[in-house]
Amino acid sequence: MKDFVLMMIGAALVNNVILARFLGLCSFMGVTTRIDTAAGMGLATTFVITVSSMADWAVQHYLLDAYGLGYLRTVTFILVIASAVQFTEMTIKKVSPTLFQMLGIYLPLITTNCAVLGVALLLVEGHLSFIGATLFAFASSLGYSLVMVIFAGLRERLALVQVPRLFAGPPIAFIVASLLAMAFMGFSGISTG
Amino acid sequence: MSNNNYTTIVKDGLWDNNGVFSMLLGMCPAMAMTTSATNGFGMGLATAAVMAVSSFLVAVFRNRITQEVRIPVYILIVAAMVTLVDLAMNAWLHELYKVLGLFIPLIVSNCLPLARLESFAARQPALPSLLDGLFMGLGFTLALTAIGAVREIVGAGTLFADASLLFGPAFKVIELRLVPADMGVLMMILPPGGFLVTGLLVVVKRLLDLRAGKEIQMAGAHSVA
Amino acid sequence: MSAPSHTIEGIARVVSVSGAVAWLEPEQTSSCGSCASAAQCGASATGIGTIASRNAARRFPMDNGAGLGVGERVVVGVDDRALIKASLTAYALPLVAAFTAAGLAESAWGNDLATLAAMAAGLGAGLLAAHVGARRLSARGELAPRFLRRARPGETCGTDRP
Repeated sequence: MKDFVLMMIGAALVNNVILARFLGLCSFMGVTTRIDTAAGMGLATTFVITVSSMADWAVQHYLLDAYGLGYLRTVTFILVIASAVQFTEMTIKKVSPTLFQMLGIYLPLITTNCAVLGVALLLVEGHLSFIGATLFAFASSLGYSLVMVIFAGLRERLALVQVPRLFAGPPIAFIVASLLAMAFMGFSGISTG
Repeated sequence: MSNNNYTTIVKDGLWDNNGVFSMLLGMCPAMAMTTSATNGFGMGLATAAVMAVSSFLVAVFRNRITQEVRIPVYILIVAAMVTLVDLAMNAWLHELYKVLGLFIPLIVSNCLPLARLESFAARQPALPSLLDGLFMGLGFTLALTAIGAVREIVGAGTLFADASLLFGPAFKVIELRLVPADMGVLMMILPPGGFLVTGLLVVVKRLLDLRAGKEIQMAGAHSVA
Repeated sequence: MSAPSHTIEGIARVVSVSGAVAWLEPEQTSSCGSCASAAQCGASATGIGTIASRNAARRFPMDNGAGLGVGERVVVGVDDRALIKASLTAYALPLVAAFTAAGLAESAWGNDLATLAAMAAGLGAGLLAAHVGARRLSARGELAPRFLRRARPGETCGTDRP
């Protein structure tokens, strides 16, 4: 149990998906202009990452490993992810059309989000058990959501400040992100390997 | 913007509409794989190879791909090319393969190839698309090498370290040490340095654009076609 | 919650009016940062799985108290707390159910296949629960967007300006 908790803290904070592993940066820059869009994106991505990691683990173990098809990993994983996104869209629509209207806007973007494919490939490398793999994926995506919301909060305030024209928009956002990354480096004291 | 003007394609890809500094696409490898100039260079070339071939293929089949299945087909083509590049690097550039690791398969989810397929290769004939993919990829390589060089020089004091290891003994000549080892700023090679250098280099590009009298691109991506 | 709730605005277009109910489609194309870069994010023109069809699938009804005509652009608002509640219902509930089921299966059998099956079952159960939860939320009228004002001629999805 303790191992799992440490692994999850490691995945969420120490080796944060965005600030340490540099995954999901397009959405990190694109969707964080407001806190509510960042939160919506974070939750949607959490769902997709967890569900697609479940499927990817199953595909890896029962298909690719069993028949020695390791080289097909990239292609099959991306197909699984695209299907997971479709699945999420369909189920949200069934669960509640109203919810779908409000939340559906982020879903297509998640297919090409490097974080989803990246987390799937990472958990394959880690040779984890099923429950370990899904907890890893879940924790990573929670870390992703956390950083998205924090950064959105920072950017909302940044929008109210006068910034030199050359720096306005993406450059100052990157510089703020580097400060955030430095802050998160403080977590590496919790050495989980 | 003349569509079949090859000089425009080359210039746009390399500098004017640079994938990283102007369009702000492909950020993930731009910051993750630029801990040294060699890594950035290698990553960029791998991406350029994928982009050139997939742009060519999409342009060849562009009239046969229907709107409905457009995106899945593009993704599959890029995924297939990435698998080929991945296997090729594993076989012939094994050291570089080990360094780049996870980020070779992640070229599939790199926004840059898909964006170029979407906005150029889907509408233009085969040869211009091949050039567009190739030069956008080379511009990407340029950007990554620049970021990697700055991070490496300020962080470790070397330039193109390990080039001979990754590309072959002939490249040993470009390995340089510019600054004594203990004067490096470690932070530059760590994640915060990636964000910082990329942000600053975007400002440099804007400055250069301003000097050349062009408009500064304020928001993110722009399309050429 | 201590934080004050505020209204998220979005732009929608009236596509048809029938009696006291107006049907609207959201105008916002994608949240790729700025409107200009929306084209880069992989969706354009027409067809399945593109913006036009996605917007059509997101058509919603609204009270036509303001006497709107077809083609008019309006600003609609949604409570941001409602959005959070909706997101949690749709996403968190199934995940929590899935993990609880998986955890129980792992401690009972400790075998990968069993955990996998349990997690899938938990996910399904969670989605059913989300269905019920969402029905209750929308019955209470919390999820529906409300009419704020007519859009000014130049107003666009600038609410998402960086």
